[in-house]
Amino acid sequence: MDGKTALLDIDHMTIAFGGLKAVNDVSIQINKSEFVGLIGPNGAGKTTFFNSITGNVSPTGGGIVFDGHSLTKKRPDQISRLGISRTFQNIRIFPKMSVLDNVTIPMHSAPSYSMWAAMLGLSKVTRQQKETEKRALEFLSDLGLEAYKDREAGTLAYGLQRRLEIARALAASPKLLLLDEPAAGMNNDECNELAELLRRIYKNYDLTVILIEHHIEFVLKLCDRIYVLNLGQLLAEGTPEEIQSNPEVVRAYLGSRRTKQ
Amino acid sequence: MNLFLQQLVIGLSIGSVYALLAVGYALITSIFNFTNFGYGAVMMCGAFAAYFAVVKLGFPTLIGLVFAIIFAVFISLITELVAYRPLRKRKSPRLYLMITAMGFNIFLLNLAVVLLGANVRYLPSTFSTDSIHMGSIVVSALDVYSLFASLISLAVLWVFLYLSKQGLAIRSAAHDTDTAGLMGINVNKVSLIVFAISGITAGIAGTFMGMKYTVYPNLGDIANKAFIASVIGGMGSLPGAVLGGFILGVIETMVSGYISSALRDLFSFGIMILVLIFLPNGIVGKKVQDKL
Amino acid sequence: MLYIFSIIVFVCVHGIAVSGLSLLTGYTGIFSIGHAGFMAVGGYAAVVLYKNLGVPFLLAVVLGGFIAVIVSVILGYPALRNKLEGDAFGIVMLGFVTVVRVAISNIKPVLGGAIGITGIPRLSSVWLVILITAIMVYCMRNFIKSDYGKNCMAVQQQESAAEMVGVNPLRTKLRALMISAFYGGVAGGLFVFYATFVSPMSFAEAKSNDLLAAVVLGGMCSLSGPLMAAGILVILPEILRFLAVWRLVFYGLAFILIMLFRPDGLFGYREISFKWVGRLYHKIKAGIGERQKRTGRG
Repeated sequence: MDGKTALLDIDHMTIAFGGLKAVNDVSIQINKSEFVGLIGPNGAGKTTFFNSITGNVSPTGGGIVFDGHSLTKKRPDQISRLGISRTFQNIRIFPKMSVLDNVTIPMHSAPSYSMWAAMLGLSKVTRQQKETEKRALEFLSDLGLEAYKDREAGTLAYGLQRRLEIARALAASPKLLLLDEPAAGMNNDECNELAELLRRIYKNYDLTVILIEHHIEFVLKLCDRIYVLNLGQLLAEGTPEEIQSNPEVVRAYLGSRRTKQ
Repeated sequence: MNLFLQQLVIGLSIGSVYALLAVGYALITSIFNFTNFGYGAVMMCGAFAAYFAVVKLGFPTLIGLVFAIIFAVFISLITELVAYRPLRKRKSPRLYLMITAMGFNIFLLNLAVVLLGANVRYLPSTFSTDSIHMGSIVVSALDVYSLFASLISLAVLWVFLYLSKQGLAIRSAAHDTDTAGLMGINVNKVSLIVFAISGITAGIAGTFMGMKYTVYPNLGDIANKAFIASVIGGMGSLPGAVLGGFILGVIETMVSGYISSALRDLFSFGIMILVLIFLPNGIVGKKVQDKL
Repeated sequence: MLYIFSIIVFVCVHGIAVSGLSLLTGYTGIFSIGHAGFMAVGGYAAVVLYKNLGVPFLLAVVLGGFIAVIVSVILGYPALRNKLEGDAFGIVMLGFVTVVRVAISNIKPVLGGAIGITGIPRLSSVWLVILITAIMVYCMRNFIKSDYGKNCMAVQQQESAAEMVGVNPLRTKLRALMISAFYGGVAGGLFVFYATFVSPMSFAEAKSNDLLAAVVLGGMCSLSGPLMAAGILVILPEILRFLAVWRLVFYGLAFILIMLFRPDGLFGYREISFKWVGRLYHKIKAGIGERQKRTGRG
């Protein structure tokens, strides 16, 4: 990696559930401002891989270092505050809260005022809340959700819920954004629109992105570099062109997809 | 030493009933991931059914047991069909399921109080009530019967769960309800079997506990012991439930025998807190993870 | 009049405890079955502090609240750390009520055993209770509307997502539990100093069910709903005395029916709005103005 230190350095990581190795001895380095794809057939361990970065699953072997901090012993909320944000494969917004509140949660996950100030309703509480709301509105308008700000999040259309999840992830002001199948269940037009959006926020927010996605064209179009996982092991790594022409990848992943369809 | 052995036998006997109850409860937890707080009321209903069969209708204890099982299964299935299933279908949060279960408990318990009165009723046993001498120790026949009845029920349940086709379906549903559904296992059928089993265990336990402690509306509080046993053993784990039940039964009897029977519940509760502190997943429980 | 006063005090005391439970169960989603246990701890602690240690009345009530908080941490920390925390906590609370009753019934010297403590001076005057209730409900409302309250709702609705945007679920839940235990403890203290006696049966399971019923009926993620329900549940049995024995039967049935047909409760995710009062006021004012204008002209 050109000798410089990576933003995310995963070193010989293994995750075993009982006897089953969901991720087996995987090493990945991701540099700042890269847009990296992570592909592989179902059950390849992609989501487990994300879960280990965000602290939901602790690796049984190896280490994860992010921005100079080891993540292996940290809780998800601590990792989030270090600057890693994610979206989920199955949407996980706060369904009964307003769209605006969904986006403010990451901004005040640890409120700057004490709980006593909150109970007494001091003016700094309302001032702080107004300020977060203003910033949240910026995220919403950036993602085209401003019109829905007072809607109950659970009543939004599917595509908008996906978008809200991205807005919420951005509101945590991440350095690294993990996207878990953001285009799942979308048609071609919606996919193109989403690709546009992702490219835009990637540039505007100076992000580093790891993208898990099954729409292979989507990944090829967006990513600088692609990792291929199969059965928990790293099968290949390279630019989109290299991946497309890698016979092993074609056999294990692209090929199997074609024969299935 | 004799006292100790005697207490041990009594403890194992009570523990076996706790184990049976805990299994009936843990089965539901393992599959549907919520605590069935209505379980105690189901057990109480079984005990009252046995009481009516034996005292009012004059049947022998064994028929009373059958009555108890049938009625407890009936109530258990009603709770599932009327409340839990529609809630699950709507993907209600676990909190709602627990509130509903608690609602059943409060409803059935207080209905019994209003209709039947809160007084205790003596449930006679037509089994021999003599004491049994085993070497130098003396234990009541009832304790020995309930030990054997529980052990046999547990063994039958084990055979059913591990050797029958339905048992396999139940175990895979316990492993992962959603995937089991995708793999063609009829989760609704599994739920009926599971709630029926839970009713059977409640009926058996209700009858024996009724004979031991008399029958009254709050008899279902004994099911709290099953919850505690299951926390000690590991929530949602069947071997854990059995182990926790026996451990709790023996400890309780020892505390009653050697320290003070008034402090018995204090000890069970304290042990549960200690287990939660030092072994958060119980003795044999697996780590529970939210599936992302 | 005394009768009316005592009903007002009961409504207020229930209101304090229910607003605490509303934060814990309604907002944070933690099922607390034996919440009256905290009232018992707070009530007994306040009496012992007052009678045996000579602590002034109000300070004793507040300290009783803090003792309830300590107990809640001892119970809550191990249970809420567990990943099946909802269930573990429910069971812990179930055991807690039993243990409180057994423990108090067996401690004769200071706590009076099963008979309880009598001859406690009636220091909770109606006006004082109303004032304290107003302050505590106001503080709860502020807390719930603040970012802390929003974090509670986030944890209830989607815990893993909340965790992954930086909310510490254990800390959020423990905070909610501690506050609700404090509210329960203070409610217990005020109650005891009004009732003038306390026994293990003062805070039995039925009391816990009263509190839970108010939250379930009143609604999830609502403060005014449960508060109103608490008031109704105190007053209604007084009017319908002949139904008293059936009260708990109805509660149980109501739990089931509400979860089946209106799971968010009667006022779930909403507050009872008093905006109509303002509108009415403006209408009347406008009306009066109009008339004044007319009479002025005439």
